[in-house]
Amino acid sequence: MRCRKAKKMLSPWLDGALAAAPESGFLRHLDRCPSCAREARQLKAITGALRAHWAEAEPPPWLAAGVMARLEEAPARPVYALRLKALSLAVSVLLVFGLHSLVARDYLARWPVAPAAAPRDGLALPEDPAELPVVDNYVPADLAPEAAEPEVTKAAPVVAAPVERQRGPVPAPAPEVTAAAPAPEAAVAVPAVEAAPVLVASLDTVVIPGPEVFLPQKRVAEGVTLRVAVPSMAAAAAQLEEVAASYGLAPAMEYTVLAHDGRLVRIYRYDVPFMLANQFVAGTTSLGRLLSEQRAASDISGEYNSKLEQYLQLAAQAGSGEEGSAGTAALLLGDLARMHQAAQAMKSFTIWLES
Amino acid sequence: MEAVRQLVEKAKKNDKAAFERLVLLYQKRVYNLALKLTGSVQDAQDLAQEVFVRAFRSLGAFRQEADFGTWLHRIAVNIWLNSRRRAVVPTVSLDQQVDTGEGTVNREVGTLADEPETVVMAGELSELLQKALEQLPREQKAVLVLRELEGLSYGEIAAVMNCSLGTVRSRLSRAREALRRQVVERARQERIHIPGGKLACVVESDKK
Repeated sequence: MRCRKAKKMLSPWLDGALAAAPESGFLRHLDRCPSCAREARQLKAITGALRAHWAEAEPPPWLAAGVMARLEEAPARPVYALRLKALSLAVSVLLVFGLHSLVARDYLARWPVAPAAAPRDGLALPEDPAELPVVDNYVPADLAPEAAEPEVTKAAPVVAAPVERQRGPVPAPAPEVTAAAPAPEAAVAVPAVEAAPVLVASLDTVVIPGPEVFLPQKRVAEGVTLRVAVPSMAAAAAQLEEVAASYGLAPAMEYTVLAHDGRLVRIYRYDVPFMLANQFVAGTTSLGRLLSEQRAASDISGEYNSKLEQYLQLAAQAGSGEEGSAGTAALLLGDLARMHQAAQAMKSFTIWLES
Repeated sequence: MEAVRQLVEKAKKNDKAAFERLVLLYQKRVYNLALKLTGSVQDAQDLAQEVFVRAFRSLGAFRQEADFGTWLHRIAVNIWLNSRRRAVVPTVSLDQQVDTGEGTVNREVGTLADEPETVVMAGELSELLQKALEQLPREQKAVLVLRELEGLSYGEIAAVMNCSLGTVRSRLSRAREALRRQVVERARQERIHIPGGKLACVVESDKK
């Protein structure tokens, strides 16, 4: 055995990780080679000294309390899963009593009573009853667009009623449909439901997406991915939190990974309103050195519409007394609301920090 | 182990009392690892706290098939490697800053040995080893701490450092050789000779 090979075996030999045959060859080499034998002795001595001289220490008594205090300071991160869970609970209650009729009439009729339930999802709905969304169950093919006020059109979209058999192709853009019946009394045009739904959950605890969520239309989601090299992950993370908090944003997702080359990478996802997007880019790139910036727009209409179809099916089933699909429907509803909002008003930011 | 598992499950559901139990269970291990990595009581306290805070925030990503203690080790090593790496970057007066996780604190320039509380090992010999360890690149020090001081297996080190067994082997081999050179060189410079001491053979045989 040559010295070069023997030196490579020193470290595993210390750990007793050499197989019998290579070890005997290695030991024979040490017998013959004073240089390698000396290195082996030195390594063994250093290893032994390291292990022998390091006594276990007791952590300071306040350590756990300090950790818990810091956890109290830290703001809780909103997680989609949690929101969906709440949503699922609320919606499953509604589904039992027939969501389609509820959405079509009661929910909207009661809207002004509990306006607090609306803005939670950032979906602007009118507070004035006169501007209430017009509810209809069908789309008249021969209606000529009226000269409706644009803001009414925008704020009061039609609910495409979730009744499967009547869900025909809804023409896009939607506002044409809305324009057909801007008057409040048009709400009376709601088809009668067999039984008046009983509302057991108070509306201000229920998060139901705005009616426009149920409207098939073209939806394009815009995304921005920023990759930033930061000098210190801890400092950058804190700074990013500050920047986001100053815009009232909370990360939708955050995870940390260790890249293969030993770099620490942390990825955040934020939903940022269009108005703030450019400022947010500037704030994020100030954390360090911008490595790359990618912008992408993806047409999510296909995915959206198939989810919508699935949801409406489930809602109709729930309305006819079939059970078991409420949870799935609630999840779908959450997805739909999120996708809709993302397409209407938000840019999805993926912030990739690495150091 | 089952108790830990249940505590983790509760903590995942934001049960802070359960998480506090976990902190109490693991604080000694984490603190001692931090002490070995940082070589300073103050830094070790900061690091240990940071480890638990990060752990709580990323509990969602923790899969129960891994050992919770190993996972905490991993977080500790990651934070430490990361916080120390910055010290290498030549930025204005950043070279002596200590990352506390919440911000940075300026530290006086001084050797580790000058402050009594920063010396983890007692005595001349320990000091020599400590200084030699400090001179190693962070990855090498980390792998030595995990293997020699924490007694982790190759597989556990691979899990903590997120690398392959082969990388553990080669890193460990390089780290040991680097430490040996440092110790021999320092012993020679400082004319340290400890009759009967464990390092006696190091210095003596190298003089031949």
